[in-house]
Amino acid sequence: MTETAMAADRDVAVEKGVSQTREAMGRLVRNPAAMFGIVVMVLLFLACFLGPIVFGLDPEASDFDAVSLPPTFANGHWFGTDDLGRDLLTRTLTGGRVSLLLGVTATLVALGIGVIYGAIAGYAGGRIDSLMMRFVDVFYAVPFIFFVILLTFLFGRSLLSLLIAIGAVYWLTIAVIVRGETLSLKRKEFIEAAKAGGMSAPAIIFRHIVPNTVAPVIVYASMTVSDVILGESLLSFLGLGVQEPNTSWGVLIEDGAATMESQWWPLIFPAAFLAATLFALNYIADGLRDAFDPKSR
Amino acid sequence: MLSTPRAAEVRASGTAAPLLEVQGLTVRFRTERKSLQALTDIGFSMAPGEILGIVGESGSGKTQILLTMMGLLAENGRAFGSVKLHGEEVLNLPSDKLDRIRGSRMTMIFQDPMTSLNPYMRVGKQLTEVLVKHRGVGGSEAVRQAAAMLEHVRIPEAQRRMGMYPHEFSGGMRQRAMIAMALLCKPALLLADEPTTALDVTVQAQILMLMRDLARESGTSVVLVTHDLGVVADLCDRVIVLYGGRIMEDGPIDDVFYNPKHPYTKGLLRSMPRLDEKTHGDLPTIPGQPPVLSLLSGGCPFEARCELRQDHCKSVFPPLVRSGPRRLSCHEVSL
Repeated sequence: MTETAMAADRDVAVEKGVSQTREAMGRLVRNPAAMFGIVVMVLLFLACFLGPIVFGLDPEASDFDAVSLPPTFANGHWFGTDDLGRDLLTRTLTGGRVSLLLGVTATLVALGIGVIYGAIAGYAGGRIDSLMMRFVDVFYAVPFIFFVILLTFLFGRSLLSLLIAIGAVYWLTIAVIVRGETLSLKRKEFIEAAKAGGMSAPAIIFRHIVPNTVAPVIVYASMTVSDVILGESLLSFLGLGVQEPNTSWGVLIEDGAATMESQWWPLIFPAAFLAATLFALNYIADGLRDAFDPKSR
Repeated sequence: MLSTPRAAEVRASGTAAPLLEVQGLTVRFRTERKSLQALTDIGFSMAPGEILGIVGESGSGKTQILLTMMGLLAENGRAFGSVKLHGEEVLNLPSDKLDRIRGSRMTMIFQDPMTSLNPYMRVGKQLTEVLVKHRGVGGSEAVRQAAAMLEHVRIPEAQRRMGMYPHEFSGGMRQRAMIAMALLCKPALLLADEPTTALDVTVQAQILMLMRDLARESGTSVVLVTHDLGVVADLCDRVIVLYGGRIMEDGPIDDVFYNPKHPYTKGLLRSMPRLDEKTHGDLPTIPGQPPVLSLLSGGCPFEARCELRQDHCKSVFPPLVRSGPRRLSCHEVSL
């Protein structure tokens, strides 16, 4: 790039004004580990959501000529087949759809509830705050597994009840984080200034407080995605999660673990995908934390 | 003394209906063990366009007066008395009514420009927010007015700066932006809490002069809280000296500065460094420490440090006596 072009670029950046979030994203992109994590996640998403369509394979189609086949390139079952003759590559990828989708949506649900709840509790303060946070404490005290069993009993075993169960657990921590941030933010002068400017409480919460909690929230959210995926795997492993013939990484790992003494491939591939996802997400979370708090590095 | 234009102005406008009338303002804070009285029986009134300085040491209650008027008192605080803006009571109003007055008819500039702007919102957006809310002007008109106001507070390239974030502004620019925000709705009353303390000296002077000019132009009355007597002398028409949450002395700026009556005011003025003084000794100070509010008895709060103290100073608070434009609260001196 020539000198003048660079200068022009800089001018454009100043012209628009760069938000702290955008600056943080710039730092994130320059962080090799985080970029690696992002690339891995993009590839995983593409593979899981487009792969089965591209390969044109049905995850439920059984190939009875190839039951419990080890991985071969010869007949197209790259990851082998399970004991019903279903292609494991396709099942791993479609299982990944459920795991990733659940991870992202449950995190978004948890974020939505947690941020609003925490910001309101923190801003209201006093008795309302105590009441709202005691409610959170009560939820915290309910064991996760027990809660899921209760919900599946109430709503039946579906992806939705799983989503509700996981979302209902993970919003608690986000609410606590956002409340803490809000407590310190509402003492800041710009909040007083907003009040002095005649802003109403809802306007202050949503326009001034919530955007300022973005740094801790985004870091925590990136960790929550991997937590949720792991949680879903645990529930599926226990038979509380996704039901056959639908599948997820947790279900596949459970099936694979059952036969791992005789066959290694049904366990290794989904487990490797899950591990790769968790690694990538943790790299991203680490990178985000550094990006939003460059001084702590 | 009386011939200065500022004093004359005050006299002239003094005949008009008061813009602000504060009576018997008392603020108590409930702490873990007992209740503290931060302000006691504060009363003053302001004419339109007047610039009033409130001076005093740290903890004398200067800032609390402003916060109480704005309804921004801390949760454990209770305010009694009356604050009337245009004859309308604003003290202890419910927040929805207060929200309509705050920002449009009275507004406040805070001490620290570094934390007074939302770091995640473009400056232009923060400016127009107030306009849209209180004046109901449309988006593009609000942007035009806000940019014009930024221009007015002498922020260079105002149009371009509207799209920038606060961290891309210098301290002086942020404080100018704050002033622009405060003046955007043309409030009748502007409360400024040490608006230049966080800035360096050269910028301080510019900002203060700017505030004064803008206030004069738009007829806005200003209450300026500061512990910088030089600032008060330059800027204000009138000054109230606060000590231990009570008014010690009040009067037109020249009267109080050239002819201080209260021993505390005298002490304050003596402890101000002067360029025209030939002596190079230590700067005189007022011996002792500011009072601990919880230990104050019913007497004069300045009693323990006062050179004129008598026995009754400890037990009886001297009434605030008015004489002409001045008021004084001391047993031992009279106006």
